[in-house]
Amino acid sequence: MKKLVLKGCLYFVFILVSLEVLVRVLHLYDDVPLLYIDDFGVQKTVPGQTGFAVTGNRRQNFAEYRINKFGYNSYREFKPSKEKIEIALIGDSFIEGFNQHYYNSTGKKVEDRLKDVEVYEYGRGGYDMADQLHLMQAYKKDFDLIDYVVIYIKFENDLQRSEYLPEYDYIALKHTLKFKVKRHIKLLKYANSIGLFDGFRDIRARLSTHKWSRKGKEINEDTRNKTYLENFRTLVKTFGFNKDKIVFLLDKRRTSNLFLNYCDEMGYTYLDFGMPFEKAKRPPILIYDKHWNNLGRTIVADVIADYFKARLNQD
Amino acid sequence: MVFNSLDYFIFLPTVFFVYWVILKKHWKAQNIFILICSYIFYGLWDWRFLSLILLSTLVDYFVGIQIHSTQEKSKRKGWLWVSVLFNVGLLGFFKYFNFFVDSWIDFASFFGYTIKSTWTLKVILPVGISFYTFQTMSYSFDIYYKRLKPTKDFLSFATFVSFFPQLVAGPIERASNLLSQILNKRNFDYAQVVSGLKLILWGLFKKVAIADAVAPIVDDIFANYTTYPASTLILGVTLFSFQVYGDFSGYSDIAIGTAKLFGVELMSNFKFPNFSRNVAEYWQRWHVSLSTWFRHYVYIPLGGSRVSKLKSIRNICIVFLVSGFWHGANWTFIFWGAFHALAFIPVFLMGRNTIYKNSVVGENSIFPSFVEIGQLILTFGIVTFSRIFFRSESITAAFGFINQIVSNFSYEIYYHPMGYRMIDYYILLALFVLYEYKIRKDERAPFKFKSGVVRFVAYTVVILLMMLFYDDGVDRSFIYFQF
Repeated sequence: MKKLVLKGCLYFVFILVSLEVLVRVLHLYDDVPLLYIDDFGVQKTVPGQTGFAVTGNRRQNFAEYRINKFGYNSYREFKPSKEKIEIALIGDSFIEGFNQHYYNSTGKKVEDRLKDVEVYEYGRGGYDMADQLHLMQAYKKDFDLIDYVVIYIKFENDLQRSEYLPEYDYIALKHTLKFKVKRHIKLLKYANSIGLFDGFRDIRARLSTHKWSRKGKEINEDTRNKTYLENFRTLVKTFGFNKDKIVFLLDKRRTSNLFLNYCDEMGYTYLDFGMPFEKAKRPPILIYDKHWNNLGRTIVADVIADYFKARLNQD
Repeated sequence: MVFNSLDYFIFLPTVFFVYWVILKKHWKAQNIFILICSYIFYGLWDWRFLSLILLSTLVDYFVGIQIHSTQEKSKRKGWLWVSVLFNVGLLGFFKYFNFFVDSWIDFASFFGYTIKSTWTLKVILPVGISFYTFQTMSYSFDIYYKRLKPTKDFLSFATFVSFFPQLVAGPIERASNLLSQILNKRNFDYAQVVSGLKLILWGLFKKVAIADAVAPIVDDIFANYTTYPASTLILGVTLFSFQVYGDFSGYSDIAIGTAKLFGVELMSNFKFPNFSRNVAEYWQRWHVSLSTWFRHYVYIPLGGSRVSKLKSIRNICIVFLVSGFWHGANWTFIFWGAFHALAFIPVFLMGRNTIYKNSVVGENSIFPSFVEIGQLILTFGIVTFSRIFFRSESITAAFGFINQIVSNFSYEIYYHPMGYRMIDYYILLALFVLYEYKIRKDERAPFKFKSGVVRFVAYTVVILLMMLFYDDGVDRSFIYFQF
């Protein structure tokens, strides 16, 4: 028995080490860049980082990212000026675009369609409307020089709060020993990403589920939508909103009519990519993580470029 | 609890530790402990059906004693019938009742009579019922045929019936093998435990990296067969062949490996059936515990091949039809059995049904001969074709599938439903076939390498492949649980 335990432990350790090496050599793990909150209270990515975003067990999606000096994934540095025409693209992980090569982003595709226009992609996974409007206010000097702003909005996700509060606790959590260990042991990271630890979570969930646990209050859709719209109004009131400069990018199929009607009434412009997605002959999204694939990004870029072509009289 | 769950990976080492460390010197206590663990293992599915196991155990325990206690043939036969009727009755009620009622209604409607389906019941099929009822019946049969003496140790007998490694999907053990081991002291054997662990690893690989990996593709193709060309349908049924093999033989390997951890040797259930040179050899290599069960308790009592050719053919047909029906209450399985009978009979008539009994393909060479390659492809093709019936939801769907192959005989590239690269799967399966060919002479030693380093590399590669093809969205239960 002693021999079994001893040899078993030895094999276990050696196999883990070998797997760690293999996972690193084959780069099966996802390089998640470090986050921070800057002096203006904006949550963004530590500048200068490069790495590869990996999706799927077998690197089904593998793309390089590059964090610029401003703290966003882009092939460009952001240097707005009065002389050039700049468009800022603000949004969450869809704009951040870790699932694509940074040189093949939505912003780059827009640039390719428009003449003498620079597109700055301010994308960060998890950004909501509060983050987006706060960013514009925090870097007002820059955004005053930027000519147009496109804000990517997902109504059901992005209007759940009516004020901006930097998540210092969340960022601090990312610097704890537990996260550092997770970050440096690539095998752990890989196993977690493919769902090998879901069983532990299930067991934990089973243990923590008590029949006396309180049921969350169910909110009906109408009430929820009204709350989200109210949050939008509050945010606009707090941060201001230049309707001539800012347009929304959204999927009409997934946006409440309440919000769309409000935009129409109040003169907010929005660009819909839902219909072109519907008409696409091939799936415009990556099946395994639902982000836009190359076709999806091209469609979205076309929607934005068509709008600005008309607006800048470039046809 | 399933073998490929985290629960089992906590359960197994705990049971192993208590069994060998705490109860090491008390083999009877070990039996009781294994019995309790087996009931927990089963009860976590549905504790209500434990009563069926217990009933089946009680009936065959007493039947065994009664058969042995008398020499009067009619009484012995009578007691044997008690066992058969009880176990088949259990199966009939829980597995086939609705099938018979529905078939009767269909039959009546064929002649213009309409019968309302008020007799069908909402019965859940108890997991493993086909396996443990056959196992307990074999005990009574063996006592009846005087191959075995009954045990008076009820707890050990109950352990034999419910031994958790093989309780829910076999191998269907004979008392002469398993019960005799349970009735004797087991000694901790390092080599046996290590060999068990290797089998568990290999079984997991077959389940996770082969069966579960191709499952979404097979599901997609069979669900949408009307929209695909022949090339895709052939791909689907070929992958299903690998899926069902990986799933069931993987389960058996884990079962046999787990039993080894407790000092128990179970019979082999799969002997590389994909390397069979004719259908008869295939049945000597596929689900061995069931095919030998039918051979010993149905085919031979009917006269086997020691009767006229015509009667032998009748016996073959009976065995295959019953075997098909054993798999499930659906006409698809009966067709599947009938198809195998039709494929087996010519081999039998040519007297080639036992010629490969004691050899493997490429017996004395590294590579198989061209003739053998042809035989392997033909046998694999026949078996794979039969799986259209095995996998389809209904007879109509099975014939629809075949019709689609014939009527839309064209080629089109198939894309994975989740958008994954199909080439990954083709490479994996090719490597798997090659590796199985390499180890084809011993199904119980999947990592037989002289060099420790090579062995270590093999373990690492197998684990890595499991991670590369692990799909957390897949239903992880084993296909044969439904039987």
